[in-house]
Amino acid sequence: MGELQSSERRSALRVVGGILLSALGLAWAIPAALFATSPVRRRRGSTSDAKQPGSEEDRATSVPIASLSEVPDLDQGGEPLRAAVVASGLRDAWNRLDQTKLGSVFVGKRAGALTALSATCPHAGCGIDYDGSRRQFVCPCHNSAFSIDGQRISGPAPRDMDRLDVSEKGGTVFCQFQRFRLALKNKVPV
Amino acid sequence: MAAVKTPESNSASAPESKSASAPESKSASAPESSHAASGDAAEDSDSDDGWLQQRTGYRALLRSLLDHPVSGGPRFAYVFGSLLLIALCNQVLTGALLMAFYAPSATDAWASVAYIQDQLWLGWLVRGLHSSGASLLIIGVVLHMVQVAIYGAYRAPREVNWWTGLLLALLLFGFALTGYLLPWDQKGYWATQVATTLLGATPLIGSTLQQLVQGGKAYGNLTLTHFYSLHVFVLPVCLLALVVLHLALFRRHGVTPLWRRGADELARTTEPFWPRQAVYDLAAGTLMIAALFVSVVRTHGVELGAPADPSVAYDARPEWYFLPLFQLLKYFPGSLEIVAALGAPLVFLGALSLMPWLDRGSATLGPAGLSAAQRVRSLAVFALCLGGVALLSGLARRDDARNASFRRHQADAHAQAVRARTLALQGVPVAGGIAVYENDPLEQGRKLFAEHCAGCHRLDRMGPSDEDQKGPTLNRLFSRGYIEAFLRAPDSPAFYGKSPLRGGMKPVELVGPELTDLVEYVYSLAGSKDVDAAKVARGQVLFEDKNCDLCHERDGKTGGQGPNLLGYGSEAWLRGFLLAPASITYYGDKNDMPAFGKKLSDGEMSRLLMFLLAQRAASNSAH
Ligand code: FES
Repeated sequence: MGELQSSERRSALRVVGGILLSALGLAWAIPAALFATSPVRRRRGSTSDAKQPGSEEDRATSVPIASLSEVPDLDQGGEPLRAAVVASGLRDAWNRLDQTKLGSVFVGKRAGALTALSATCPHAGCGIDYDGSRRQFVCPCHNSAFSIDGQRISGPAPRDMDRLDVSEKGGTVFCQFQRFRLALKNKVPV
Repeated sequence: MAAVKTPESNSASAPESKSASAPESKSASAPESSHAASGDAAEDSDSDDGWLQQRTGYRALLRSLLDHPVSGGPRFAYVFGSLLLIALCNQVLTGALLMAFYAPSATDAWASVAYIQDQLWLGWLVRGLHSSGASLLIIGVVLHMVQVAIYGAYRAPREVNWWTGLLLALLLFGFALTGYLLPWDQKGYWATQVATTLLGATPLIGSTLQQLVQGGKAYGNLTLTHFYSLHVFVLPVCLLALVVLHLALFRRHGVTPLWRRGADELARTTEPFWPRQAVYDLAAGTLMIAALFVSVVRTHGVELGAPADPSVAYDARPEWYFLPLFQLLKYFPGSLEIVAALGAPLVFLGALSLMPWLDRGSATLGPAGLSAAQRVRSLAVFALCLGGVALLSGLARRDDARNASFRRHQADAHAQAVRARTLALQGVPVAGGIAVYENDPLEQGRKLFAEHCAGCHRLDRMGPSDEDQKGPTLNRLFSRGYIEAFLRAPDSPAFYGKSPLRGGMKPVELVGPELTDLVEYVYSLAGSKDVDAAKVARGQVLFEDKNCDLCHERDGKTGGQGPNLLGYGSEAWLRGFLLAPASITYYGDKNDMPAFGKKLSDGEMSRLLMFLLAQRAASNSAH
């Protein structure tokens, strides 16, 4: 009888021990999970000019990339111009950045209109080069090749080069820089 | 007292071999019977073992961890070691989380901690748990030591374990010291300077040691990377090794029951660690962690000071657990200081580590345990050590409480911290922590002034010297003092002396109360609320009596010899002036100042205005 009682008490103690252990674990795990995942949720307490480089919120921003006069006409045999995309007022975690390079784009005039192609390879993100002798874009990593208009010709790239919105105002060319998810058939913004 | 050897309890057939090797469980006690009820069937036949058990034998490991016998049965008095382990878990976990967001560089450290504290979800909680957890560990160490001292657990054969415990406590202070600097805020920066300077005063090797620790002759990036590596790698590895040793030695000797209990009674009441002692430990641990959470939530975590600024002096205090040492230094002037700084902790640790031998004379009383009364010498030394520490920290607190300038300083430091952290919400410029003040619109206004206005106007240390100055000095612009000085001598070099406006206005010849009244009236034109209505009324009469109104209109539309004074000194007046200084309502064709306002963006304009108008407010408080 006494033994039975004692063994019951011990099972009860085991349960209590388990509960306490879980309580302790949860007390740490819940705040830890919320804390660690906060960068993937919306930023809190941020000011309106806070933007993550190249992210969705940033889509509306146009940055100047070149002056109209230096943009080559591809129809006349010009080579696409590689222009760095430099933005201001961006946020990177705790920093406010001025004049940050986001990436580069190839700009040119085609049938009188401005075109801009992201220099980021849609396969795995390497930087695409322009091969003047073949008049093609070539990715040095896994040899994907694209036509001068960005159409995929060969190689492992799953889609054409990513086209970006460009506009011109007062002789300056602006580009809406954006990043897209890699290795997908479709162009999906990051 | 019989010690259980761990290897036996590790073997697969633990229940049998343990009852054979553990004399104290010879009576059919509760633990054995419950084994039969719950575990044996599964543990004894390999065929029933799970996949994992067959391959790893993990149950034997679990059993060896959990079934360790507690001689004389579980007690709440034994919880302190486990509490320290739980508090240590808290440090490891929160530390790992903080590491994922912290940047150990002089330019980024403060900004990243401010980001953790104010912008990440529950960042203040995680950081608060880590920082207060350090205090908790120190409190836990003291309680653990007190329990060990009272029960006599420092005595033979546990001397080595007592020493490893002391070393562990010392390591904790190492953690605290290195961790205090990492946020790179004013408090940590200046307090740690004291510590490294003392280190540098060590005879012979001091300066080399100091430079090694701080990564060079002065504080900078390398100081942070060095402290970081110590805090998150070197010290933790040492700590882990010592904890393992400490626990292994504990397992070897078991708990130390109170001396009153006879060997028979102890043997009869011995129980395994799991579940009862474990539940005691966990219950106390849960309470402790709950208390930690409550205290962190109530204070919204630990304060982050303003970013470290070598140009701004700071009345630094170390964390509370360093206060005794801090206080001690006050009593040892000059070169004796280093003796106290290094000597006192050595004497302290030396006295404590010798405790096991202080009662040598009474060793003949046998190993069954000496009562506290028989250990009066060692306990007296222990009490003296703790009492001294408590006394010193009490004195330190009393000194600070009586020190009004220290309290004022703390209030200022707090205000500065709030300002810096509010500005940090807009993102900290890459130049580093103190560059956060550039986010301040006033500071940006100052920059715009330096860029656009300081070519001709002087303000503070910006702008040309008297000879080269083309426009008025703008210190305290639009304040009463400014207006008065201008009215008395408009053509002085500080006003229109060097500008085409020279000679445009005659000095006002009023003196005494009349001048004050006129000044008050002109001052009131900006729409300020802080005016004396009676003076204003008298001033307005004077304005008209003395014919000021012949040149100065006050309707905001009409031009005159001098500027139209409607809203003179207000934001609207100044904005209009900056946009069109040559308009007929301002200085007309005598104006020589370009319309700078047109070059500025809206944001820049409002920041410049804010800066200029702050001149008026700043000097008002001085009046
Ligand atoms: S990254 Fe361009 S081809 Fe693979």
